[in-house]
Amino acid sequence: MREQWTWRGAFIFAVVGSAVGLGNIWRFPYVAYDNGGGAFLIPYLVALLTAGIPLMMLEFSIGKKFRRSAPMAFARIKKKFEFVGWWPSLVAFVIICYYGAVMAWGIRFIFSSFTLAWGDNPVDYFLGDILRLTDGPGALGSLPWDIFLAFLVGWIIVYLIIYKGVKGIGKVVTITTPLPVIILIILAIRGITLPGAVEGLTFYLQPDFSAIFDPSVWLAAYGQVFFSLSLAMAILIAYSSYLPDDADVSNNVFISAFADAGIAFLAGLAVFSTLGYMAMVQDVAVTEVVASGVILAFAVFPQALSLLPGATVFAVLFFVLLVTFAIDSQFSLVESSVSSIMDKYNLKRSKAVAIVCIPAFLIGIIFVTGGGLYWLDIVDRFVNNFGLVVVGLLTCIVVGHIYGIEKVRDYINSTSEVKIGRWFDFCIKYLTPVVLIVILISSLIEDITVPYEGYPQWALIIGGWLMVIALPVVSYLLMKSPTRDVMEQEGVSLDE
Amino acid sequence: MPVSAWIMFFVGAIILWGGLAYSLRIAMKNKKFK
Repeated sequence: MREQWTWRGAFIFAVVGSAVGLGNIWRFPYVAYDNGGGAFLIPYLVALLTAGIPLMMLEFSIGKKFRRSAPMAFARIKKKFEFVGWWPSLVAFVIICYYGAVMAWGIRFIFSSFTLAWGDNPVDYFLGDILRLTDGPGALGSLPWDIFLAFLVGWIIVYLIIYKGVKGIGKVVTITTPLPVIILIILAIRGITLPGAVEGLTFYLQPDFSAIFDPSVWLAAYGQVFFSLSLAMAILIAYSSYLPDDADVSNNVFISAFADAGIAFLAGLAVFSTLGYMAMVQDVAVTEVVASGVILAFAVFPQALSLLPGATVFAVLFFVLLVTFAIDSQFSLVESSVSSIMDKYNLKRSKAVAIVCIPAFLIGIIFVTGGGLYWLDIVDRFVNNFGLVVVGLLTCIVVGHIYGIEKVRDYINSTSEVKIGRWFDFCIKYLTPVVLIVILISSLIEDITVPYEGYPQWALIIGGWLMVIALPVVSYLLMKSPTRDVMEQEGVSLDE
Repeated sequence: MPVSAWIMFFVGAIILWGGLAYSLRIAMKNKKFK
């Protein structure tokens, strides 16, 4: 008997918790600011409605209809498409290897925030004192014991959650999903009431409508939506495979997608209002303090918080927010891989969890060494641009064109509160694939002509290109390995 | 803050947060899988 979510809220919290992660804080606000400010909302909303939401519906329905995680679900469509389900599971595995390091930094910084340890040099503190960053990917440097300990603690927490299965995940996400949102609301309210906040918010919200005529802005919007919604990592397929037969699909997607986008929008208010305050205090232009990525999360924003009255409280809250946002993304990625091998090889959960977590932990140690940040940067770049995007494309082709998108739409409408129309067919069959192809080609051109971030070619080959090529190869090998899926063996068909 | 920024704030808030609220309202009315 397959595990099931105990109530609808658990499923939605799990999906939202998976989708909402560090990218909502450190990526969306900056991408919006850099691509027309408030005007970015237009391409972003269009991308959400024409790509993000349809793809989520596709993944939810595949998982729920076939009652299997991605590899076995795709095998139900056609045996030879099983590798299309392994590819995103392996993408998820690659991500969990390095995401553990980011969680470790977050856990470590909770302790730093009690004393605002970064002082006046937050970048030096982060890169030097915490990461012990080396000169380049060729030098792994040391393995800082405090970061390793935080890394171990993070992994133990994730292991204990996944070990308990869907019921355990369901209980945990009722805390780890709403808690950081509440903290974010507190930070946003604190931020917008600060002097100087208006200047920061103006940069975030004031529209530059000329951006709408710039194709790169639309690419940025589609890219942001795609990366933000936990798509193409077999997570949503896995999570929805634990839904009961009569569960809704389309409205669950709307709730999850609007929650993810709404939280990103809120995060932008919190980030830019606080940066505006910081710029005022430091008597510089807002543009001089704007940052994104790890530097925003672990240097600039903490520094801004330390300027506030009651700084310690807000700093601790911020890092608790980061860690809880990261934890439910991390265990959703782990669950994606775990459920894939559980279903294929008919393994007990405890065994599958060990098979995934132990290697991921060991490989992940590379990313907490002194050279780890470089490798994280490389692997993250390539797995996103070439792993996720290709999987998204293949999913659209296999399900939209080969399996038949009308069957999917009919299935969704048979079980959903909100009926969807033929716009869904058009998005999956034509619009989304075209956008993904454009993103893929532009990424390929960019990364072939210019070494990413100037990293040495050998590092880009090992951490990037070889990893990307290994994904379909290993997927194929996994597909060829003997299946022990109970339903496969009994010849039970789940088709209409 | 310029008027245009306020307008975009309300556009985002109404569509995203309003969309979320509306979807949740539909879900609350539905009895299945509670």
